[in-house]
Amino acid sequence: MVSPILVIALSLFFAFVIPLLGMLSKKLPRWVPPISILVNLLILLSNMDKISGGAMLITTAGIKPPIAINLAIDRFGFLFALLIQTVGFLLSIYYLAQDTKDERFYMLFLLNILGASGIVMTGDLFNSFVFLEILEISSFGLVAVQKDKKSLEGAFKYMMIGAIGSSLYLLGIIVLYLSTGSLNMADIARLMPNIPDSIKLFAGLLFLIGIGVEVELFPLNAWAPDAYEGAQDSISTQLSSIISKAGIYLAARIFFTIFNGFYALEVVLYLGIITFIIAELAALMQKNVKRMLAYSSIGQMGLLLFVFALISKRADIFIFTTIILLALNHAFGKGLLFLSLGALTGGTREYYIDSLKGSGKSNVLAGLLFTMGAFTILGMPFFFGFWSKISALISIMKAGYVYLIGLVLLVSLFEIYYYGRVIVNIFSGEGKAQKTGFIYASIMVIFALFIIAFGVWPHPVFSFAHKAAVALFERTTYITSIMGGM
Amino acid sequence: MNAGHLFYGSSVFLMVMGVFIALTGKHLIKILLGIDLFDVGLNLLIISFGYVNGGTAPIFSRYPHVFKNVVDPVPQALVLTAIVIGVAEIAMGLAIVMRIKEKFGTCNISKLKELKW
Repeated sequence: MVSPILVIALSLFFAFVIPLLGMLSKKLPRWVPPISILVNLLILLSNMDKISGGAMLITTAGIKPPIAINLAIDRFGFLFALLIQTVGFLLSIYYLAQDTKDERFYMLFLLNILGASGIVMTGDLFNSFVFLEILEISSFGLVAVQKDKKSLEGAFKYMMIGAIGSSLYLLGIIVLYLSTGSLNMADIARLMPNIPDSIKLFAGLLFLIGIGVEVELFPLNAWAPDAYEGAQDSISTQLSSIISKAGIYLAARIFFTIFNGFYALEVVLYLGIITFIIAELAALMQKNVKRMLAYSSIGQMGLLLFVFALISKRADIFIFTTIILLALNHAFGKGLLFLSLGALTGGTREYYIDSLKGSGKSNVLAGLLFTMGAFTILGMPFFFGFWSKISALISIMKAGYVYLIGLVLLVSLFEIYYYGRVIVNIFSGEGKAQKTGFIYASIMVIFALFIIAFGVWPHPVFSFAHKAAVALFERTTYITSIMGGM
Repeated sequence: MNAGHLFYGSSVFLMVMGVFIALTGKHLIKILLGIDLFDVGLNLLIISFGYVNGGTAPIFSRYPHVFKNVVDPVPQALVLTAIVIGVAEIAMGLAIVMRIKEKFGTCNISKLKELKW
C-alpha cells in the first residue's frame, strides 16, 4: 500500500541518478534499472487489492479533479502497467550481461519504461501527451543507440513521423479542451454528449493520427520496419512489447472511455485489416528475417486494431477481453522471437535467411525458443496464441463479419509459410557453433514459460483479462469513481 | 479586423509551411527545421485560442476590476510544457543528424539508402 505515483517519481529519480553513478564507476549504472523496476513492480503489486470496480484515484497537491493533474488506475490500466514493468524487468536483467560502455543507454531505457507506465496510469489528457513524448523521444534514442548506419536511418525516420504525429495529438487535446474546458479524461468523457459531432470527428481524427504512429497503423507505419531492423534485438523487443502496447492502451482509453465508441472507428476497421494484409504480404517477401518479424509485428498490430475497431459495431465485453489477450500474446511472443533471433545470429547482426542456415542446430535452445515464439504467433494449440486467435475469430463473428474470418485464416496461411521457411532453414545444414550466455538464455526461457503457462492453463489469464475488460467497458463507473457522484 | 483571426491564420500558415518543408526538404537539418516550424505554429495557435481581445495577464490581484478581462492561463501553461518537449525532440533529432553525418558523410536524405525492402 504505497502510492503508485512513486512509480513515476522514483523512476525519474533513478533515471537522473544514472549519469552521476556513471562518473563513479562504469559498472554501477547497469544495476539501477533492475532495482528501479523491481521497486515499481512491488509498489504496483502492493496496490493490487485496492483497485476494484472503478478507478483508483491519486490526486496531486490534494486538489480534487477536474482541477489539477491526477493519476487514475483501473484494472485495465493496471494490467498494462504490470505487463510493461514485467517485460521491462526481464529486459533490464538482460542488459546486465550486455557490454554497453555508455551509461546513458540505461537512462534512456528507464525513461522509456517510465513513459509507457505513465501513459497507462494517468487520468489527465495533457499528462498523457507528456508521457507519450517521453516515450517517443527516448525510443528515438534507443533505436539509434547501435550507432551504425541502419539504426541511425531507422531512428531518423521514426523521429520525423513521430514528431508530427504527437504534435497533432496535442492539437486534438486542445480541441477537446476548447469544447469542454477540461483536461481531465473522466471529466471530458462526462461532457462528451454536449460536443457537436463535427468537433468530435475532427478531434478524433487528430488523436487517430497521433496514436496511429505508435500502434503502427497503415499508412503511418512507414517508420516501423526500418526502426525494428535498425535497432538492436532487445530494443526491437521493447518496440513491439512495450511501446506499441502503451499505444493500444491509449487508443482504448481515448476512443472508448472518452469518445464512447467513436463512430469514425470504422476508418480503423478498414485501416486495420489493410494493415494486416499488406504487412503479412510484405513479410512473405522478406529475405531478411528481422525485417520479416517487423512486418509480422505490424500485421499482428493490424489484426489487434481491427478487433479493437469492432467495438464501433458492437460494444461487447468479449471484444475487450480479446484485445487484451492479443496484446499479451503479441508482447510475449514477439518479444521472444526478437530475442531468440538475436541469440541465433550470435550478435553478428546478420539477419539474412541464408546466413542463419543451421544456426538452430548449433544453438538448439535458441532454435527451439524461436520455434515456440513462431507457434504462439501462429496460434498453435498448447500455446497462448491459440486462445487469443480463437477469441479474435469469435469476436469477428460476434460483430457480424463472418466472411472476414476466412480472410484472417487465409492470411494465417501466409504466416505459417514464412515462419515455417525460417524454422526449416535454421534446423537444416551445418552452422557455426554459437553460445548464448546464461542470463540471455534464462530471460528467453522466462518469456517462453509465460507463453506455455498461459497456453496450457489459460483460466487465470482469461479471468484477469475479463476483469480488466469489464473495467474498461463500464465507463460510467470509471467516470463516477473519479468525478464523484455527479 | 479581429486580432484573433490574424493569429489563427498566421499560425496555421506556419504549421502548413512546416509540414511542407518537412515533407519536401532534402537536407536533414531542413527537415528538422520544418518539424520545429510546425511545433512553433502549433504553440502559437494554442496560445491564440486562449486569447481574449484586450485581455490582461492572468495574475490574481487585489483589484477585481483588473481581473475581469483576462486571457485563459491553461493554454499558456500547456504551451510552456510543449515548448520544452519540442526542444528535447529537436535536440534528439540534431544528435541523430550529427551521427548520420559522421557515418554516411552526407546530410542528403535521398542518399540514406541502407534500409530498403
